[in-house]
Amino acid sequence: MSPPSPTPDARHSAAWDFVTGQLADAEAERFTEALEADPAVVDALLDASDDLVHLRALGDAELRGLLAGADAPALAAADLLALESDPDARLEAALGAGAPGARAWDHFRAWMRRPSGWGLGLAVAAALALLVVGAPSEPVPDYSAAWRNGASATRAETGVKGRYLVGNVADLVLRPEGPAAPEHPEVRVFVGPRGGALVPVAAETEVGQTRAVRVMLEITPELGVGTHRVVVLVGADLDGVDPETDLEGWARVETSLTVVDAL
Amino acid sequence: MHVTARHHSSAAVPMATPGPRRRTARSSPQAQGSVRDRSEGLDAATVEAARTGDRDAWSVIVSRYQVLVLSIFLGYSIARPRSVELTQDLWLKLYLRARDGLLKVLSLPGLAVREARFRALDEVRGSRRAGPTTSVDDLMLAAPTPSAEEQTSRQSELALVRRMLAALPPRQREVMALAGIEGLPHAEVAERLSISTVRAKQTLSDARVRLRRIRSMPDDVQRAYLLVVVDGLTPADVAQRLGRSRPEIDPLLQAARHHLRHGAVR
Repeated sequence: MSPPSPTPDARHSAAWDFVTGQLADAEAERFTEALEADPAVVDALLDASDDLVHLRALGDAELRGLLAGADAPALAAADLLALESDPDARLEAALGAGAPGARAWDHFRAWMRRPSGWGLGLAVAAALALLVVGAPSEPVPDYSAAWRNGASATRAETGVKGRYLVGNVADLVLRPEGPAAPEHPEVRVFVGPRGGALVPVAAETEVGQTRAVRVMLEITPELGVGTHRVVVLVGADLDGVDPETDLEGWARVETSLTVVDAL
Repeated sequence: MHVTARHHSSAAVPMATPGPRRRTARSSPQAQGSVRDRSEGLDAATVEAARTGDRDAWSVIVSRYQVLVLSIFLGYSIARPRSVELTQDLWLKLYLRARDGLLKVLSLPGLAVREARFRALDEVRGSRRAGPTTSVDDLMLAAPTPSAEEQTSRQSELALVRRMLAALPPRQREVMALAGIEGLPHAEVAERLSISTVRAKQTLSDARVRLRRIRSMPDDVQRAYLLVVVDGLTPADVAQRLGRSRPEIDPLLQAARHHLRHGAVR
């Protein structure tokens, strides 16, 4: 039996895949064996099953009635699709509203409403425009990457860093090589065959006090035996970023891991 | 749902309506007080009693794992009415097996989960298994109303899920609407949204991680966060709504942002 997955995200991901029938027979069998060995896997499965039933119940009046009575709130998929708000933008706007800079901007806007403020206001705006246009975007320092075996046998049963069995968790640490590493970076992980296209993968990430980034990637059967490219991007905003390119706005680290079918 | 074996009234198996359950990621005292504690694990005596066909023991087991079994049938894209039937049938067969002394070992929820998966696969492949071989003519199914406490708890959970879904970024919301609420497979979600299947699967995974992170926020952080991103309130309005001072709101929102990016501190 393979050992239970040590990371919460990996457990929950496997549990969701089990409940939704996306695991192959051997994986499903391993998962049910893990159920008997690890209460955390049972919890992950119960969470996944609750999630699935609640989601379906939102759009299914009879299931909703069975679970929670006729008064339970509904949510049609169409309603969700029709929502236009961007929660991240709203959060940033709210946080910006409380920042000292934002308060200063509020004072500036109030002052600009007075007729006497217009002349100087235009001059300040022109100066600010020059500063903004001339200011380079904040570069992200380079990171160096190292595979770790860690204390748990599930991290690399082979005992060789960067070499794993299916069911292990690859543990990669990226250390910033400059002082300006972001405190709360976005991290994206991509995996692909040598010479082939990279695809985004789900991986758990942590940022330490030294701003080192830890990436824990579960080795699944889908990955396949062989050597794979692993690319990690670290930056403030990685939406739509091409994992094959490396620009100042983000750090790009490429390394490789090997999956073997036996010790 | 209720299963009764008429000729064996002492052995009736109450198929309790799915009850509420505390989430592992939830840390608030408010949430913990409203639903059953998951740590109330099945004790060995209950499991052994169930193994030998004790009706009350099966009632406890069914109540605890009914949603789990139902979710597996639903997860295999089996229509809800049929999923409910299959769930009832599975518990009944397990109970009859125990009552007839055929269960040498009872490992839960592993046994129920395995059975559910096999039956779901059979159903999907169109090779439905035969019904129970004993007492099949004597079985009666009934669906009692859930208790008021259970209904309230589930309603709260559904309301929270609804708000959390509205707090997803637009693309994650779209994928969750189609895959989560409508139950479409990844390939169909991908086709509807004109993205690759890999991207659909990854986005669904991202959405589930984000939902877990929102759920794991402390209560006050979660409330402030949802008031801002779902209801569109300003921090000043949030402060008024929560009965807090304005400066207290920024740390809550910063904590929310940290949770979203890094999850709960482990």
